Order: sequence, then structure tokens, then C-alpha cells
Amino acid sequence: MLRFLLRRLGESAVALFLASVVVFVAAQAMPGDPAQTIAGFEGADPAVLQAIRDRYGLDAPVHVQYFRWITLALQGDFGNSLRTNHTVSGLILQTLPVTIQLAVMSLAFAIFIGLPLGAIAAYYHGRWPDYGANVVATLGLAVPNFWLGLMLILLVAVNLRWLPASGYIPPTESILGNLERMILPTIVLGTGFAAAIMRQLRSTMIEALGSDYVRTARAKGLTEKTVVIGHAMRNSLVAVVTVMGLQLGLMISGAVVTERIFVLPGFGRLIIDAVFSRDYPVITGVVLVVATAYLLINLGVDLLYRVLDPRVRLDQREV
Amino acid sequence: MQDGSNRFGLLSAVGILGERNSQMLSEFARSTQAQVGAILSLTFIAIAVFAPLLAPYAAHVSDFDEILQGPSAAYPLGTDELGRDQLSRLILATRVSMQAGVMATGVAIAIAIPLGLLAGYLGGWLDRAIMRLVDVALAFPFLVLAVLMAAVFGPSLWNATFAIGLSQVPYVVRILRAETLSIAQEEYVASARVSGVPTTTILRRHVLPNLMNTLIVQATIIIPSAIIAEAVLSFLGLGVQPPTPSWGVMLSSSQGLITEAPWLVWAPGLAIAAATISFNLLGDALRDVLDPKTVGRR
Repeated sequence: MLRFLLRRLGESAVALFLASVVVFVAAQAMPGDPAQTIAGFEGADPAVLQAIRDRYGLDAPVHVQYFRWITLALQGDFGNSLRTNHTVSGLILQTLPVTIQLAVMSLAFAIFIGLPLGAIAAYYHGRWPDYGANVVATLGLAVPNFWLGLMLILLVAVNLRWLPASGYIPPTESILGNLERMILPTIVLGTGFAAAIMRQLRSTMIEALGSDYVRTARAKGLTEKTVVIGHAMRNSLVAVVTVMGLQLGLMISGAVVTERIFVLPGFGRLIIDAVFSRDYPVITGVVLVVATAYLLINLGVDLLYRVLDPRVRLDQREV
Repeated sequence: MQDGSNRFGLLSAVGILGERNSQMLSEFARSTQAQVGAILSLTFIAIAVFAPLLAPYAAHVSDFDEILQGPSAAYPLGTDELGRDQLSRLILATRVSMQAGVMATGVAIAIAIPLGLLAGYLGGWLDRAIMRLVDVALAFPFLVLAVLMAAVFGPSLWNATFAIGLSQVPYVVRILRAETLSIAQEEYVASARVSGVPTTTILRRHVLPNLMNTLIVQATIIIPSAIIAEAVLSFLGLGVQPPTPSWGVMLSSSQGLITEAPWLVWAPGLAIAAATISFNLLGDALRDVLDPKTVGRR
């Protein structure tokens, strides 16, 4: 386990280094002269431009610039936004909680809906509850989440007036107001995951329910509830964790879209706004943070997978 | 039953299809799911190809007397904020979606073929280097890639599609490498190698043709996800730019008008869902026939 952990950490470090190089190269390739941008207007005095280049080391060789950038980035200094002059790390810290709240609530929603549906579908395999759950899951996967968002706004916010259509209130200001505005985004982001979890749990659980150990458990006289939930479902959860790991990339793009629809001041909004205003320090900072988070969460999923499934651990030892 | 196998038996007799392929095709043709999927997918492709002929109005022409009109006989899906016919724009936007699907698949396969074949066939340090690269590529979430592309090269359909295709490359490389590994063990490949056939010829003549089924399966997975991805990027403003009609752009502009013109929200979303379901149906049926091993991936 320790050897696996070390190897996996090493791999993540290499991946992160290469990712940072890609981000840096992309930043260099973005159109526009950074000295001009810092000066704030076109046709600034050449002497001023030169002073800026000297001060920020823009004439230094590329690898020196990379080294300076990554050293500062590792200390959490991604520079300042070209547009607002706020520090990029400040902007990230300000927007990140919104996105994390959205992600956690969506995940909870997905598990809350996906697990029971998947278990019911597997238990009633080939009968109407199975078909019903399958239709729901197929629709959940096929309907684009941004359209689902617009339709929910139309129905729940515009027609029924049950919930506000958009906007954000920090939980520190009003917990109720915050939740009111987070319900629809949670449903929008969580539906696809719920469907993916349901489908995965259904197919692994159907297999588990037909297996020898479930037959043995039944023969032992265990209650049906213990057999289904304690044995078949528990053993199928490993596959669900894997699917959740695979869905992580979708979670990121889904969050960006959801924040855009519901005008939530999160991470996604920050990066899209930065692209349109060509705010390069913000783009590179956010991308680097996202790539890091993505790698770390993947690492976590990988480890969790091994903890949950003793068979994987065993395989690892034998190799 | 007999009828289905005869239909393609003729093709195999004239040597267009091998015996195995003709069997698979007839199996494919008998499945209802395959038929529905194929008909729907072909309909979308036909709409894309003949879009200008099918659209009742020109997509860019505004009629300022008809701004934000609800559905009527003259405008079955209503008009938008510039008085443009929503149905015509929906039809023309089909082109963008199909283009995105095909181009993303092309990009993914064109890049993945050499990488997967070389890694699987040559092995060694090249294999390790390519696979490590693939692992790193997987560390880049798709949207991050699209954002970087848009930031460096500007937002456009081609850049968005390229990012979509590029994000699929790692998956395709992994599968092609594994398939190549097993094909390389076959006797005919070994005998070609010992009789001194150059590696590039072996890969082209013996390995690549055997990967055709795999590539088709991959295409059926990539096309529907590329259609959704293009819509998402265009919705965010990172893809197709207005006034070019695209389902994502149409949804994006409908959002601000949701109270005045709710009819504008319905059609583009339904179109995206219908196109995705159609290609998924076709893909699932093809997968059942061509590759029983494939596990679903999104």
C-alpha cells in the first residue's frame, strides 16, 4: 500500500509538472504583449515599456520566466488580475467556496437519488420498476444539463414562482436565502451524476444478486434486507466509486455551465469572464488550481477504491 | 430472419464484405434499436446536408416587424429577438452540430491512430513515453483544455471542436494500443515480420484493417458526446459565435428572454437531446454487434 501510494504520488507530481508547463506555454502563446497590458494602454513610451520588462523580468529566457512563475505559484502567488488588480489567489479564495458548496450538494443529491434508484432497478430486474428507473436514467444522461437548467427556471421560477431564478446569497448572510438559490443549481448539476450512479449500481448489483455469495447468504436465512443492502449493494459500491471518479471531469464543466445559468459567483464564472476579458494571470492561475484539484481528487478516488475493495489490494501485492 | 442475411450475403459474394462482416451486418439490421437509431441518425445527417433547402427562411435575415412572435403558421417555432425564424435557425444549426461530431471524431482518431499503433506494436520506451503522455492528458479536464484553446486561439467552432477531439485522444489511444498488442501476437503478423515486411507496411496492411471495428465503435461514442460538448461550449461563448446559428448559441440567447419568449427555450434543447439519443441508440446497437466487450464511457 505504501509503495503504491508513493508511486501514485510520484506520478501525480510528474503530471502536475507537465500540466504547469502546458499552462505556461499557453500563457506565453496568448495574444498581446504583457508589457503593453501592464502599462494599461497602447503606444506607451518605449522607455516605460522597457522599465516594465526589466521589472517583471519579461526579457529573461523562457525557462527562467517559467521558474519564477512556478515558484511564486507554489507559494500561492499567481499575480494580479489585469482587469481589477485584485490578487488572483484572492479571487480564487473568494469564488471557490461557492463552487465547492455546489459540488458537494450535487454529489449528495446524486447519491441520494442514484443509489436507491439503482438498487430498486436491480432488485426488480426486468420488471416495471427497472424499466421506469432506466427511462429516468437515460433521460437524465441525454438531456443537456444547461437545458435542464433553463427548463427548471422556466417552470419553477418563472411560472410557479416557487424559487428565485438566479443570484447568490452567502450562507453567512442568510442560510435560507442561500439554500433557496442553490436548490435548482444542485438539481441541474446532480442529475447527470445520479443517472450515472444509478446505471452503474444497477448493472453491478444485478450481477451480485445472481452470485454464489448472495445465494449462500439467503440460504443462511439472513433477512432479505441484510442480503440486498448488506451484501449485494455493499459489494457493488466499489464500482460506483469508480464511476464517480470518472465523472469528475464532467463535474468541472458541469459546474461552469451551472454557474453561468444561475449567475453564481463561483470558479466557473471567474474563468469564463477571464477568457473574455483576456485576463491571463487569472486564466493561468485558475487552470493550474483546477488541474491540481483534479489530480488530487483522482488520487483520492484511487486510494478510496483500494481501501473499499480488498481484492484490488491483493492484486497489488501480488504484482 | 433468412431475409436479413441474404441481403448482405450478396455483398459478401461479390467480395465487398467478408463472411463475418456480412453476418454481423445482418444481425445489426435485424435489431429494432439499430433500425430506429440508424433512421434517426441519418435523418439528422440529411437535415444537416440539405439544411438550406429545408429551412423556410434564411437564417440571418431579420424581420423587424416580427420580433419575438410566438409559434404561428408562418413561424412554426416563433421568432427570436431579431425577428429571425426559429425553425430555420434550428435546421441550419444542425449543420454545426453534425460538423462538430464528425470533426471531433476525425481529430481524435487521426491523432490516436499513430500513437496507439506505435505504442502497441513497438513497445519499449516509446510505449512508456506515449502512455505517460496519455496519463498527463487525462489530468486535463476537457473544459480546461477548451478554455486554454479559446484563450490562445480565440473562440471558434474549429477550436472548440479541436479541443473536444483532443480530449478524446487518450481514451482512443489506450484502446488502440491494447488491440494492437493482441493483433501483434497473431501468426500472420509474425510471419510478415520475419519475411522482412517493413513495419509501416505491417501496420498499414495487417494491423490497421483489423482495428476498423474498434474505430467505428469509438466514433459512435465520440459523436454524441461531441454534439453535447459543442453545444456546451457555444452556450458558454467558447465555441460558435453569433450570428451563426448553433443550438448552444440559441439556448444562450434565449436565457435572457425566458419570461418574454419561453418558446425559444424548448426547441434547441429538444434538438440536442434528440440528436444525442439517436446517435447513442445507433452506437449501442453497433457496439453490441461489433464489440461485445466494450464498456460504456462518457
